[in-house]
Amino acid sequence: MLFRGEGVEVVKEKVKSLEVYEAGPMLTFSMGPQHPGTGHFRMIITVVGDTVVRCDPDPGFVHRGEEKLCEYKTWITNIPHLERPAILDAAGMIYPYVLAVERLMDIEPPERAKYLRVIMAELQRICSHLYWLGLMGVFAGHATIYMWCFGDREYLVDLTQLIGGQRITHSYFVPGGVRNDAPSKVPKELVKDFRRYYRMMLGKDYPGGEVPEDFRKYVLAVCEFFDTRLDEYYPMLLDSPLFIYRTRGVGILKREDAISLGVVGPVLRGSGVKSDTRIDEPYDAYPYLKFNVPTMDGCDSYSRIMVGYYEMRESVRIIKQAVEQMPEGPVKLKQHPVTIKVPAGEVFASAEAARGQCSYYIRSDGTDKPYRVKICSPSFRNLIAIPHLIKDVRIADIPIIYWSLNYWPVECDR
Amino acid sequence: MSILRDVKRTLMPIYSGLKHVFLKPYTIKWPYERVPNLSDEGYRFDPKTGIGYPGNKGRHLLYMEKCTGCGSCDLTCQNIAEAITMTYGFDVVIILDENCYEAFKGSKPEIVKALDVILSSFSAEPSNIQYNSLSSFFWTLTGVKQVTKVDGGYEIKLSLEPIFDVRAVEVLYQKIYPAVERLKATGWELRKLEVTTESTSVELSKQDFTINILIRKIDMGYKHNRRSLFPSIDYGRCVMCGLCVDACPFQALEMTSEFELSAISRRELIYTPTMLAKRPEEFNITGVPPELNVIERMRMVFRRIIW
Repeated sequence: MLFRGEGVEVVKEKVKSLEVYEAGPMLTFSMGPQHPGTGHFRMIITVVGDTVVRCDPDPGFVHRGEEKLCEYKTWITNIPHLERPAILDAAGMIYPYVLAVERLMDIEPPERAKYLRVIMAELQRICSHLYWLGLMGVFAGHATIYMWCFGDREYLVDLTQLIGGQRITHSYFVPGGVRNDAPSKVPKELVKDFRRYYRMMLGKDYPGGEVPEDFRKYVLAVCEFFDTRLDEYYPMLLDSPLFIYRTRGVGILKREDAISLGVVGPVLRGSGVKSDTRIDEPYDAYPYLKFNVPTMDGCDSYSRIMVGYYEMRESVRIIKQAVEQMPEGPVKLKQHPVTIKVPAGEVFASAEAARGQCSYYIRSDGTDKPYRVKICSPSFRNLIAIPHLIKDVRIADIPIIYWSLNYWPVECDR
Repeated sequence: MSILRDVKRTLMPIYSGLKHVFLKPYTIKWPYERVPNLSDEGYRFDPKTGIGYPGNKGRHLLYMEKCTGCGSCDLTCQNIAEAITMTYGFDVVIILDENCYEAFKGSKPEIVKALDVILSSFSAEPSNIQYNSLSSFFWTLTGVKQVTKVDGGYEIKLSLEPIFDVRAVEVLYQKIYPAVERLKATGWELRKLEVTTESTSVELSKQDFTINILIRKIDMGYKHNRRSLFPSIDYGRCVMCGLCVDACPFQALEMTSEFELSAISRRELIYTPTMLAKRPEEFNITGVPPELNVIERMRMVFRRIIW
């Protein structure tokens, strides 16, 4: 009954041709909405024996009406709630909004603010990818990588806290710059703690004995450390045959399919398409920084997670360069902190969030509130790949495929 | 050879994991040990340059001597979390006239009963609690705190601390009306009822006894804040974005690094201006719990050294 235009007999024939199991009665059940991985999201799955013949994603459990909310709040007070759809990657979510409003107002943020924004966005991209990789370990039955990812993530989250004041949802970007400068010094206790953690994880003292207290040097030290840790992740999880057997060749999204379905981010790059908003439509400080866009040709779950792994490397590279090149100066244009005037007009802006391209369409009628805000989030664009991928696979492969898309229900439902 | 390589690759994770068995463990035993990633700096904002100072966005700190009660923070928050409400400080007193006081001293049953009705009404849990709203603080007052002689009678104070509320009429609805209804049934008469935003006065009389119930605004004595209007913050709603700090043109609001704001009831999450004016070190809510015995405390201290 779930197959529109296809009789049960046809489906049974199809399943028979797979020669996995003898075609039996079809069974339909829900995966979720409690937790098919993370967040509230349901997949209605039809199986014959152990083989999935159809998957219907059912999003919308965490729809909060962010777009409608935007019409009732002013330009600045929209920022805290627009970060909420993806709290891990608040910077990536708010970046295109800020860019769009700046384009409408026809202003350019100061140079230092551009670099600070890039540092913040890349730090949160790493945090988000570590969450992805760590939970990928859990989905594949590997608990150690989960502990490692979350342990190392702590020091990157601390860096965002030093800059933005909170662990997540910093409300740090505003049209016209950022809200505050980075601190010049790192608290002594944190430095001591990092040294202890360094010794514990790598089994040796920090080279040179003392970890620097200067903010720039401390960021470089953490980046250096994290780069070393990434080397250890490879033999731990990504080169382990047990993990490779679970993920390689599972959930194949061909290059042509990826392009025609319109997926974005690591999912698209995992299918061998070199597409990145940071390169294609460079914004803020990205044109001044050198980095690669990693792609993999495997088109499977393993390729997608490897793209995430290599992206963390590139993000570390970007942060290192940005911290070294960051000029001195003001971080915000002189304007009223809460009430800004935005001229009438419409604008479209996109930026590369952790899960892919995030775009905003904004129309202003010249008042203190937006007339319309339309969000096109990366998870929403990757959602279409779920029924395409979860088909003709085993039930045990569903979590792997689902999580290899790095799907975030709240971001999708908005 | 490929089998050998596979075996090696399978054993590598076990080896890398095994290395960590012999390394020093890293766990922070909260709350016995504190999370070390906090600087003492809180988020502040400089209205002159329009740029904030980096710092933690924790609980707010209110400078009452700078606050003018302009309500900019309230206005900003109405668009974000609706956590901030501008509130007055109120004083709750019962005034007994000379006759009444003498009768009370002589424990005349009807006066004692009338006072009992009023006091129990103030100490009772309010009937309609709007949990998700700051429009009324559902406070309770228990017992008499102070008795002083004023001209024309004796004044009984129910609270020495000011009680913060949006307006005095809330107190009338929640606390005084039930008491008045009950007293009317026992022969008391409602002589006078005056309600404004800033005060409420109720006069009850029976024969030649008179009881006055007064809710009056306290003048905090700040020259720049004649109305004595200050923000109260509901931390059940606050999202700690710090935009209220940006909005304040007088640097009266700041944020501190205090983030452990958990409470047992929602009522406790509403911080009144006097609570917000306290520095985090005055609060003294952090530290090792007192129920820990000596040996456990010693273990906590020596744990770092032994390992």
